[in-house]
Amino acid sequence: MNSLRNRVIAIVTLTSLLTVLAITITAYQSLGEDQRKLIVQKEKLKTERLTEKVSQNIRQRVMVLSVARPLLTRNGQLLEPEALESVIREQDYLNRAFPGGILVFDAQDTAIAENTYVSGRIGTNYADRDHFKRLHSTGDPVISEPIMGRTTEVPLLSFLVPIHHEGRMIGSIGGIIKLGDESILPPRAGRDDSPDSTLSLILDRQHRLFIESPDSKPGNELQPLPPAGEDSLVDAILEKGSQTRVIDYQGEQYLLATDSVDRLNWVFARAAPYDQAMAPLIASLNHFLFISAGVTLLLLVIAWLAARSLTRPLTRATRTINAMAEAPESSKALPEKGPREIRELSIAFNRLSHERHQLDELKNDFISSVSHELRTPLTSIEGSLKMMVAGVSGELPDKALSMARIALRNSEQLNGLIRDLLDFNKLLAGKREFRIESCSVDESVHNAIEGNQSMARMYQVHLVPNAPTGLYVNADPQALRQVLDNLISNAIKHSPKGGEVKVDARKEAPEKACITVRDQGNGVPDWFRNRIFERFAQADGGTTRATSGTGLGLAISQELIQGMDGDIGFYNEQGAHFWITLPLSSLIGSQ
Amino acid sequence: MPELNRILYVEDDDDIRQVSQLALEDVGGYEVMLCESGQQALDSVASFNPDLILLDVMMPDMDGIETFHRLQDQGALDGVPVILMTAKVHPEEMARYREMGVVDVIPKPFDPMTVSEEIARIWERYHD
Repeated sequence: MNSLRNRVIAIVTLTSLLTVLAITITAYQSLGEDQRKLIVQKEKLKTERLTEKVSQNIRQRVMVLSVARPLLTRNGQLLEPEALESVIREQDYLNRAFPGGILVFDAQDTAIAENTYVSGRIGTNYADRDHFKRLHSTGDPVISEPIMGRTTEVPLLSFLVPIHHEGRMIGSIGGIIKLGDESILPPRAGRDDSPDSTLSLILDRQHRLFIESPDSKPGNELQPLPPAGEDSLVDAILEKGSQTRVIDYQGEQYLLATDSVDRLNWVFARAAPYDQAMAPLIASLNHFLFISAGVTLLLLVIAWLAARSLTRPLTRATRTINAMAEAPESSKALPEKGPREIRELSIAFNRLSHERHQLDELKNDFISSVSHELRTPLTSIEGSLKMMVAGVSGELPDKALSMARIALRNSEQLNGLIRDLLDFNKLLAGKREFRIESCSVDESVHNAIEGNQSMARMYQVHLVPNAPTGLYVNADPQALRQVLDNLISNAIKHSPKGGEVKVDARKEAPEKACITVRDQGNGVPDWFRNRIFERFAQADGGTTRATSGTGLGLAISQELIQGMDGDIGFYNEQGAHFWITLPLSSLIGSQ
Repeated sequence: MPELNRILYVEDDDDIRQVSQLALEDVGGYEVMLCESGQQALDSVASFNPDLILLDVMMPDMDGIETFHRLQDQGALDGVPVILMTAKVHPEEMARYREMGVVDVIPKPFDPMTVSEEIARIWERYHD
């Protein structure tokens, strides 16, 4: 979380997640509501269609009876019973429409013909039945309420169509549907899309009877509706003016749709389990959620990419700045492009870098001109003193000579200090270029000893080289010489009069050569061990014999040796032993 | 190999000029003409007719480099080697000096007791 990239990712992700969440919730609420309404509407329409089929079914049966009427009369009279029976038996469509039987009644409502024999039915008078009364009073076809057959003793519906002749009712034809045997629901009604769970039922509102019910069929008796409050489904169906709605039934939710059947005081009802009805809604919401998840994932990827593209210039800037810190000369400018903040950072950095560069140049110019200004007078001081001491201007009195020597030594030291300062400045600025080549250790050691002989004589110290021939290292000869000069002159300065400075070289396994410079002095004091390679570090200040140095020699030596992939160190063992290691040259053996 | 006798020495610093004169005349035994500016060197090079020219680099008005080029333009450097004497001895500067056609560079500060020998060595190498 602490990286800028992670924060950007977090912000973008959070924002997009909230957006997606908000959209999802809105969609769930409004789309879900719309779709729920649509499903309810669909259920209602389906119910109405089925109700219409039931009504149609009933109308068709009435029609069937009506159509058969002309066959039953001749000259304004009903046919003889035998003839009637043969007619109604022959008419297939009548049997198909009314498997429960066809009857013909006379004007007094006495059964005179039947197509299937039921014992005692012929001759029975039905004038007391409600639907016969209705038939006489209206003169129109009627359908009875569910009744118990007088002779068949099973629950049935009776269809009656009057037979008129010249405005006078001469009889009627009746069809019977046994409620126990057949359904007046269309085939597969309510089972088109929900095989088992949708309940389809028909109730007789007026007589509080089941015409069709899901769990029990009227067998040999009429099935009355349970009293109010006992069956929530029935209660809901009978509720007047009821809309399609959700109800609780036997611990489950159902979507209930009702409609009235034509001509009868019946209610057709369909109750679909709510979950099942809403399945398409759930499916589409799931689909929606799935898409949302996909979009979120996409947003995450985009967030990651955006964050990366935002932070990449910063990472690059960091790298460049670090590179500048490590090697100021190699510093590159940052590209001044991209988003405004990044661009401004780049511009600021480039300005800083430029100023730093200028400052660096100023410093270098300063040091080089100061050193020139210092050296110019020193050149004449030192030159004059040297010639005086050498007797060019004639023999000097002893005291004058010794004073001239003091002056000379100090001017030499001043010169050495300026040289070391310049060297060190160059080394630190990384301007010192190393020209690595294969150097003979033996030769380097001998040259260095040769170069320091005059100093050794002055300090009355013996220089003893001990370097095997055939040892070669990879080094810059000038730098190696500078380091050896420094170590040898240090050793000379710290040696007692008449002492020895040994310069040894040997191969050190596996790929290094080690050169050691040993003196017989007092060694490096313990308190000074940690600071010995620091700038201007000297164990004892002042102008004693041992310490007429600048304090930069070992610091420079360390920089030089490390610049050549070598190492430098020391230990005390009856004097100070300074060692350097350098990589062996691959030319070893071939030289 | 011709003998080295006459040296034209150009140096703006009075003290160094005096020290150098001592070093070159008394220690080295050369015949030396001292010039305190590049212009003076240009004026007197023909009459003095030196065997070798010592040239300081850092001088006001006309520095050693310009003096060198103008001497060259005058045709005064035919067979006359030029040695620069300077404290500016960065490797890149040294390379530039040699490219110019300077024979050698003696870094300042120089040792007056040995500078004559060094000049003699350079003279020998030049005529090798």
